[in-house]
Amino acid sequence: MMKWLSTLCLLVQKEWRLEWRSKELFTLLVCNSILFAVLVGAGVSSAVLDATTTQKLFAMLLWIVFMLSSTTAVTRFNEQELEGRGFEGLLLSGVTGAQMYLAKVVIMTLFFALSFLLLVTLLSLSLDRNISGIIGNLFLVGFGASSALAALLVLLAAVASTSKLKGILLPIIALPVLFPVFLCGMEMTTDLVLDGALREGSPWPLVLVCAETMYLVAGINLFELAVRE
Amino acid sequence: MGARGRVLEVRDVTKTFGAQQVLKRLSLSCAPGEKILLVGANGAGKSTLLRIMAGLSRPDSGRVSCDSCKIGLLSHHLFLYGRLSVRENLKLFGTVGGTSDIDEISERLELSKVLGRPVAELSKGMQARVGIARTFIAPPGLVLLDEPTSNLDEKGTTLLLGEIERGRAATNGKMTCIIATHDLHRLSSVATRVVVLNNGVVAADSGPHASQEIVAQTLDRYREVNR
Repeated sequence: MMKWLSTLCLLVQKEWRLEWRSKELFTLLVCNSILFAVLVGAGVSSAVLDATTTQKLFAMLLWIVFMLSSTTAVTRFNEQELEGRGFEGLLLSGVTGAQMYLAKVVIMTLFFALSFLLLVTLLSLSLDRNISGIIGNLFLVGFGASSALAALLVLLAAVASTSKLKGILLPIIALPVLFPVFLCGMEMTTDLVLDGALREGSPWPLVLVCAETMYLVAGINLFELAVRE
Repeated sequence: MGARGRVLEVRDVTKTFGAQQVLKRLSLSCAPGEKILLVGANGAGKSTLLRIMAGLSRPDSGRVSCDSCKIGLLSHHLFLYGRLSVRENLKLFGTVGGTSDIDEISERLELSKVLGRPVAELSKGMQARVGIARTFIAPPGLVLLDEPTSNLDEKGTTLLLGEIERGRAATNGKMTCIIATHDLHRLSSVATRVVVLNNGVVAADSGPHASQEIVAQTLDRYREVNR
């Protein structure tokens, strides 16, 4: 078990180094966040919506922007594995598909969570919403949704990576499957924005945990099949 | 598990890509310690067979059983991360393979001066040496080499042959080596067996632990057919 975990740590380190050196995911997430936040802000301003309506729309706009930004950013996530076929070297060395998958999920979760934080800040500025009182809870919701998003997108990015149409294919197959995460995130954010706290007895945290567990089980068991020829 | 006394057994393996059947009910078994030269014209199925033996590709039918827990594969794909440095790559593959000492193999393969450089920035020849280091850093029980000398100069080839001998010594001579190559000039002398592939089937086999004379005769027959 210790060896399994230390190998996982090595793989997380490898993923971090690869991502930090290429900065592909990071750059795409930041650019998408800025672009979408500014576009949405400009659109809402030109629609001349009142403050109450904007407050009600905030959660929905935030999650639409976050889902679009994330799914379009991961299209090149597996490119570096395919370039030198490093993943085959790891499989030959005895690394399991589950370890490779989990290492990628950890790194992608981290980047998604950071981009969520950036997006919340930008969107609250462009929509003129004060969210300083709920930013901590909002980040927790974002982190939970980020890990669920990562759990599914790592698997789907591997499935789509050998397709010539991966740029188009990935968002098309990912967005419908990610609908539970979108709903959970939106409902919990609405509670936070309107009431300042999650509604008592809200089912959405449990739905999010169930969706994430389902994605993780699928990813752990299917990732190796997806990357092998 | 493979049959007793065999490190690898391939039985009735078939593989098709599109309309082309690359391997046709191919069977082959290898004993521990053999050094097999796998020869055949382009498209004969050598690389496909090696990938199936390594477990990286699935046969359409038939089965492959391997008694060796560690398999090393060296091919024109480096199986390395181009953006990581040589040191980071060797440390990663060494550690997951069970060894953390990268200095010794780096010195042997004369990689010490490029340890800090990203693999993608090295010449093809140096990249091939890093590939050799990855393959042999934790000596495998079965090593599969697909055109291993294609990017290597004389020095590189000598270093590769040295690593094969060192790997065999580390495994008490039990390391089995299968080399798919067209470079008969440089590699025929190391073989203890020659297997000729033609159109996805074994066309000739000198047999295990054949004498140098029989190995030479099998290679001569192959050269005549391909002349």
